[in-house]
Amino acid sequence: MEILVCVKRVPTVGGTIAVTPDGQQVDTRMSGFSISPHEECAVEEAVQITERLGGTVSVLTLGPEAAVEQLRGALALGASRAVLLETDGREFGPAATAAAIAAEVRARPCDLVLLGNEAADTGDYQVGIRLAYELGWPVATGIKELSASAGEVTARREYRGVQESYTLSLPAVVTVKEGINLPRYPSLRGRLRAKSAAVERSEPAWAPDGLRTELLRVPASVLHQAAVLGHGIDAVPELVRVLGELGVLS
Amino acid sequence: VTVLVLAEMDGPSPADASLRALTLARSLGDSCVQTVVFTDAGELPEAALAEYGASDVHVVDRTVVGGYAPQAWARVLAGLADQTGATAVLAAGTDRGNEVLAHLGAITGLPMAANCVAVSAGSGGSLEIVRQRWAGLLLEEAVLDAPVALLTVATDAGAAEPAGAPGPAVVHQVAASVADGDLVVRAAEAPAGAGGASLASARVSSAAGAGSAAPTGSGRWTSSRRCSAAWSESRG
Repeated sequence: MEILVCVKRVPTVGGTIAVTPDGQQVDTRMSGFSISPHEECAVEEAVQITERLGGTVSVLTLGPEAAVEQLRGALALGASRAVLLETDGREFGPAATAAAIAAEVRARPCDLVLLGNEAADTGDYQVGIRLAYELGWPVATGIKELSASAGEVTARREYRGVQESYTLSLPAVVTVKEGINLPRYPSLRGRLRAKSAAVERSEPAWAPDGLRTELLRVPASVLHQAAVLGHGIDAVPELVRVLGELGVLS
Repeated sequence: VTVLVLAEMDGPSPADASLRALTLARSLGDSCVQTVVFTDAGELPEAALAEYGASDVHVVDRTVVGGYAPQAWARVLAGLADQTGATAVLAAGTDRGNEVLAHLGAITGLPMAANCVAVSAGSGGSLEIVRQRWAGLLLEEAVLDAPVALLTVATDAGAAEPAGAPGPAVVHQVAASVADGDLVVRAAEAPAGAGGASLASARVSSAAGAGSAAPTGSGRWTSSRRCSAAWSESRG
C-alpha cells in the first residue's frame, strides 16, 4: 500500500505562547520546531500499515526550507520518500494547502493519505476534507482506530458515547487523532538514513483565502494563570487572601 | 440577516455546545436565527431551541440521510442555507460540527473559520471574528470575507444564555433527498464499549497513587478487565 502522510512544521510550545510585538506571528526565537502529536501518530500508523501489508510511506510538508528538518524526522521513523512543497513564507490557507497537496497526489498517486485531525497552530479542521473533495476521494476524520486491507480501510472513532465505524474504499483520505497508536522513537540507523536522504521539492502557487488574520494575541485567561503575589514574608497576606478566595482555607 | 445554526443533539436535548453556538449567533446584530437539527423520529427539541433564540427549527429525519453521513448533512445544510438566504452558517466546534462545516466549505468553495469565540459585523459585508488557535492558547482576530460565512464556535466560548424574550419556534419538516454519492461515507453506529479501543485494552495505562488529587482519604485509580477504569477509595 502506498501511503502519503502530510505533516506541518510548527513551533514547539509549552503552556504559553509568545507573540511578536506586531502581533502577526508566534515568536519563535526561543522555541524549537516539531510536528503535532496527531501527525506523529499519522506517521506511525502509516509505517505500521506498510509493515503489515507492504508498500511504502511518503511524507510531505508545505512550508519553508527549514521544514526539511521535520521531513527528516519522519524519514527516520520509517518513511522512505520526502516531499517539500516550498513556500515563500506566506501562510497558505486550508483551501490553498489542500490544492497544493492534491496536485502532488495527482502527480504521484497513492492509496491512502493520512493527516493529523487539525494543524496544531491554526486549528482549521478542514485540510483533509478539502483535499478529499479536490481528489474526489472518500474521507473520514478524527479517527482513533484504523484497520487497512487491500482495497479498503475501516476507521473508527467515538462520539458522545457512540462508537462510529466508517468503511472507506481506497483511495481515501483519513485524518487521525493522537492516541491511535504509540509513536516509536527513531532508531540510530533510521536517523543516519534520514540525514542523507534526498528531498523532492516543488513550489506551489499561493492563493488568498477568505479569512484574513489581523492580529494574534494571548487571551487574558492564559496571561493571568500565574501572578507574583509578593516576595518573602510580605507576600503572606496576599497569599492568604487568594487562598481564601479559592475556598481552600474554609 | 438570517443565520443558520446546526444544532446537535445530546440524547433528547440540544447539546450545550450547540446552545453556545446559538448564543453566539444572536450576537450577529439584528439577525433571524434559525436552526437545523438531525433527529430520530419523535425527538423535537424546538422548545429548548426557541428558548435560546431560534425562530425556526428545520427538522431532518436522520434515517432519510443515512444516520450520520457528514457529506449528506452538509448537502442538506447547503440547500437550507440557499433556501433561507442565510448569510452565515454556524455549528458547534465539536468533532461533528467542524466536520460537517468543513464538508460544507468544500462543497460550496467557501472559507470556514473554526473555533470562534466572538463575531461581529464588519465593513462591506465582512465579519470580524475572534477565534482560538493553538488549542486556545492564542486568539486570532481576523476578517472573514465571504458571501456566506461558515463558522464553528469553540465549545468553551462563553456560556449558553437564553434569549431575552424568546417566542415559539416554527417547526419545518425538511423533505431531504440526498444522492447516493453523499452517502458513500456514513457512520455505522453502536454504543461505545461494544467494540473498538477501551482503557482495558489500551496499550498503555497509567496509575496515580498517593499524591493524586483524591477528594478524601487516599484514593487510587484502578483498572480491571470488566471495568475500563474505576475510582476506588481507601480510608485505611
